[in-house]
Amino acid sequence: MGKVIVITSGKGGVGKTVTTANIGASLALEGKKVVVIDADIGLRNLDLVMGLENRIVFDIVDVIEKKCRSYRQALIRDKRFKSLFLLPSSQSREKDSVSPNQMVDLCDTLREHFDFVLIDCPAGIEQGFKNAIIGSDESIIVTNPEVSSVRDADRVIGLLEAEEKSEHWLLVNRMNDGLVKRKKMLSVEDITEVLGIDVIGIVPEDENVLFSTNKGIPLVLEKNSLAGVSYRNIARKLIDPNCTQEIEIRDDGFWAKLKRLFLGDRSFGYKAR
Amino acid sequence: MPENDIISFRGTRQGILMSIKEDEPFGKVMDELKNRIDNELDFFGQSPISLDLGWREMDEYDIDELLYYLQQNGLKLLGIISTSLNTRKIAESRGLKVIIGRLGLAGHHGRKKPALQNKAIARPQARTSVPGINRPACETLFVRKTIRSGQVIEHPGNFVIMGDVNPGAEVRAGGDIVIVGALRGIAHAGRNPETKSASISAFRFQPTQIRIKDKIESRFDKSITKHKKPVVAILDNGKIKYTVY
Repeated sequence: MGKVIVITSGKGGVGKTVTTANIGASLALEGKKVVVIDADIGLRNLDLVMGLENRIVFDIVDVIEKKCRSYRQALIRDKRFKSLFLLPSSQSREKDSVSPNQMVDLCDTLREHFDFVLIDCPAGIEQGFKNAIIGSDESIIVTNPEVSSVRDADRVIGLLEAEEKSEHWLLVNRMNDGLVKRKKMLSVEDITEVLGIDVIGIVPEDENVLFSTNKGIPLVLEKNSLAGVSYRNIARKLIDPNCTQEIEIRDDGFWAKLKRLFLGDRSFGYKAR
Repeated sequence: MPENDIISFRGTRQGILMSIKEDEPFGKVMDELKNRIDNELDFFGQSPISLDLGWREMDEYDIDELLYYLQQNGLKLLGIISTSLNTRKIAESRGLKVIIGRLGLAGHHGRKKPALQNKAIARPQARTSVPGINRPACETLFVRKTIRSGQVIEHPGNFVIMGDVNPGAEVRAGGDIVIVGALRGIAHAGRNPETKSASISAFRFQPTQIRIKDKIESRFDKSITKHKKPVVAILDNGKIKYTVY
């Protein structure tokens, strides 16, 4: 039996879709069988980020309305990861073409065949949000280090608790340590003080996110991307919450190698959290 | 049966039909009901009770209070007759039988402008339910959770909250509010018109706004909010005074 995890935030534009795509890819990289569901019906995005747009034949609404033989027909296998699948959303339909009960059934079916089912939740707290969270076991709440997304995250946690879904993690996206040091940005401590939930990971601000999104290539394949490494560590933590072994970026420049030679194998450069 | 009785009874084959005057404040109705039940408990015996509410709007708290009181006296409420959709819905959720209608036995007369203003202060309609919080029969309600943005909790007595009140959340109490945690949202104490004064205390005091009785304050001195010490705010001679511990 796999786990169903919803990735949500309340506020739009904090990085739910990129997070879903990259955690999905990282889990596949760790050898897990993963399906990512785009629950944002009417505003299809996840397929673009994963570079799978041109392969869509059937979508989630077709599966639910049984217009295709089974859910398998709508699943799209990722180009790079053999164990990663996408269930795309519909671009032409609306959020209420799926009912909560149908969503629960879909999650239960997929749960039996995959290790992880990741649901990319739409922004907002309306019907689309309710559909996305209803079948989930755990949730990852994505927030940026700024007040409005923290406020919305707080609201979303309240709504999740009202649905008796109390397993949640916080993911702080677009962290800029430099700005935090200059006290221009909320720190992770400021955020957890208000929200009071466990942090699964912190993803630094990284221009590679934009490049890889536009290209449709998962960030986690780029060895030198800080954000990519953070996503991989988050995926490891999802597999084993007690995992302490973290992937780090090693600076392989000439001076770094020379320093290692003299000072022993210490990790220079950044330590991805 | 005098015309101006708040509550009137009538025996039927199915039990007792109780009619409640529609435009009387609910507090007065409860007082009268308690009075009547205490004096005439024998009259009720084991017969189940049906309630004619007319167009009276009852909220969850009203109905729960009523049910609790009847239960305490060993009386069983069978169902209600009401023209209010909301009231019927709530009653249905409490497992009561529901009939749409209005018998108009207790000196009913057409709907006048209801005294909404008083009611709105005492029990505003907008209320987000927070799971796991049920109102007990006692005066002070303990809440062991963090109240998050968008959640509003309300209680006619006092509140003790073991958790934070986050920005965007609101706590409303008839009496005092004690927060064993941080107050960052809105707290409104002393909503009961009968209380003379009320206090709001929090381990960490960084509210968006506090209200005690009808006094609203939203700008706080840095000496109160900056440090991480407990603060008690109390209404004294029409002014809110703060004590830092």
